Amino acid sequence: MLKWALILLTVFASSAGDILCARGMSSGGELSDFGPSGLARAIRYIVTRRMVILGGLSYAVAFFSLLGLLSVAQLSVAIPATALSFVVDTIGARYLLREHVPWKRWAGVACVTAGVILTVRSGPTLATARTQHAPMHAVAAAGHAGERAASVVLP
Amino acid sequence: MNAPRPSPRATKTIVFIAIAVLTNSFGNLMLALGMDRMPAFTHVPFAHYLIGLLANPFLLPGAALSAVYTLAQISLFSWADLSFVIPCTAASYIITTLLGEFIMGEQVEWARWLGVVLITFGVVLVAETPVATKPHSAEIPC
Repeated sequence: MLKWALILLTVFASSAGDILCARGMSSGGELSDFGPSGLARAIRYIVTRRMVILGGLSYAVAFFSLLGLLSVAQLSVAIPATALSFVVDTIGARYLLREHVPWKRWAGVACVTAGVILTVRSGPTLATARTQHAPMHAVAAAGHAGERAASVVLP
Repeated sequence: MNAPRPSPRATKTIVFIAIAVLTNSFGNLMLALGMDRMPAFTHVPFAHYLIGLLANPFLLPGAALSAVYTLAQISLFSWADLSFVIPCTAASYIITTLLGEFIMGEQVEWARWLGVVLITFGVVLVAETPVATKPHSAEIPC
């Protein structure tokens, strides 16, 4: 039960982060000056947009939820489940951001999701979760640390 | 017969997706290599662990690459669709699997290679669609 709640939280927080960042950036103008001074201005612009800040908070929730998930579920279940956020992202893009998603994109997303599940299912070593800044070694180490701490505290 | 010249926006999109895919894959590789050298979290005092993190030659560069990845992906959102960017940046799973096989020396089983083929096919399908399907404001923010 807790496992499924954490899977849902991880997937939806990660997609919410993507959707909020996309909403924040698409409602402004198109970034186009990436020269030395333009780059600094672009970064300042990104990190001060309200929707992008909310998106960043959402990514943080996804990261800690993934940590929690890894302490209660096996990697081979937890990591493939995070690939569901590709589908949630696309549905959010269609219905919340009002993008026109052509059939080729739906087909492509289906292939990518299936492919990611196959790719990450068997090996945690380098596999990346669909969550920003979630290098699997760090996450797995922290997850196991949590598990060990819990086994010390709980009878 | 000349191939049509790609628009500036198409070129910019390809460059930013390439930056996002490479910084994400290599950032994760460096973080994985760095964490390999760290002691178990519960076996050392926290302050020692923290110093170990900062002194590790792979972790700070790995974190910097991850930051570049995040900024590149968020920049893409200013002109490209979310439903275009997200599947395209999944190409990093392909690079990650190749790095795992050839640098980390993992045994990559056939199911993972099938996954790589599916991701490649999916990215090609998405890349054939227009970068943006709704008007983005033309005003340049900065």
